[in-house]
Amino acid sequence: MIQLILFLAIGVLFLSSLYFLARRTPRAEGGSGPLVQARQALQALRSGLLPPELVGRIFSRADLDYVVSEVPESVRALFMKERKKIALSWVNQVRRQILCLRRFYVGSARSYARLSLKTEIELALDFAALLFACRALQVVLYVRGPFAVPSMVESTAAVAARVCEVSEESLAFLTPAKVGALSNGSAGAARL
Amino acid sequence: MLTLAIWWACILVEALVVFRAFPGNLLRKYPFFYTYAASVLVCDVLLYSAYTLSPARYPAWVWGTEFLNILLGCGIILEIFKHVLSSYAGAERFARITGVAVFAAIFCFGVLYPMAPGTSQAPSTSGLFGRSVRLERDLLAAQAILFFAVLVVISYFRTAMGKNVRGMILGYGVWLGASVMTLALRFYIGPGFTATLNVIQPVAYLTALLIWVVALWSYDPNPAFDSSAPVEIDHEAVVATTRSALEAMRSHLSKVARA
Repeated sequence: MIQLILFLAIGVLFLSSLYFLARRTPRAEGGSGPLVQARQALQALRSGLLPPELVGRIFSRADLDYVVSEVPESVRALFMKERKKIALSWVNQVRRQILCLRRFYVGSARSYARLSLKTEIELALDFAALLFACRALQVVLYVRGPFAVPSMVESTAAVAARVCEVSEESLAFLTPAKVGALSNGSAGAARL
Repeated sequence: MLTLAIWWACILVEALVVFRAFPGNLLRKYPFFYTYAASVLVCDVLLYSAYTLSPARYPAWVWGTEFLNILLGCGIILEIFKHVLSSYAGAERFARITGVAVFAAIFCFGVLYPMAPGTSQAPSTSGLFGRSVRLERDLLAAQAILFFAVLVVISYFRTAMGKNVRGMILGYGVWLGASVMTLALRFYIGPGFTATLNVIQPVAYLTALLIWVVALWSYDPNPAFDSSAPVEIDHEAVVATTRSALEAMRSHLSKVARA
């Protein structure tokens, strides 16, 4: 029986990988595109998604306390619904920008001839763990609402901010002037 | 009758796949794949002749041709290395090491597992037929694991893939996945499952052939990798900084988990 389960699992896993292969886009990103996108992702995370005041505002307990004490039930329900939507959208945006950074990293790694298997596996698992944490946060926000896990939100935001800081250092060689030049180049290539 | 109809259809489509290799000069582009395709076509014609002219010899011929074609099926992995991974030094190295590691793990498992106490033989393994089913299942499962590892590397590194190679992988993969599962069920359930196996496997194979006809109708080269980034990236620096970022993140997450 164990053997049967093992072989069926191999078959299912293999067919699932084929399904994902069939779904993915056949073209790989090359050239300056991922570099520009990574830079833009960092900017989006730093200036638009991770400032403490924004995170504090979205998940503010004071807003909830006010709504609970001062407004009727129907308005409260509407407030909760809208705030949940905003919180989920925020986590989704953070996750997408992290994916963008990972795409840049993978783009750099795939052409590097002296790649270390151990390092790559470790980094791949780390990225996967972070993305999983974002997904877990989405699930918790969806199930328990935006005010149930303030400490988790703050910590995730702090962690993501730290990643941005370090990633920014790795992309420091790419000055704004160069980014502009690369963006124009990409646009030109796209027009062609 | 249904099985025979599928068999005729398979021979026709196999011939079409091989025939289409000549106008587009695909034979020179994908020699390993077409060696496999030509082999299955020749084997199928021979088997059909044996089945109609000398049915007594048919079972012995089946196993010989099956194992030859399983071996030649590995040529598709060689095509992946040649066409998909060769443009990406890092991804190619990663796939090569992963492939060797997976092969070594399968080999060790294959040698050590039968020696483990309590691994008794199922009743359906007795006889030449049972042993052949078992060997075929094990070889195909090993191939599926190897394929899976290479596909994971391709997906992770987001390497470009043309329509031809994509079709080769999808077609062979559909047949391989279906075969591993049906042979496992045949091995577990016993001869009672043979009739179902004789329908599912040919249908999966016909599906694979139809995918190949569509994907390999004309030559579609692998998209060239655009390495024209105007800024040189120091990958070692990217690794170091990404690693420290992720370590910082992990420690933060641990704190959250403990809180």
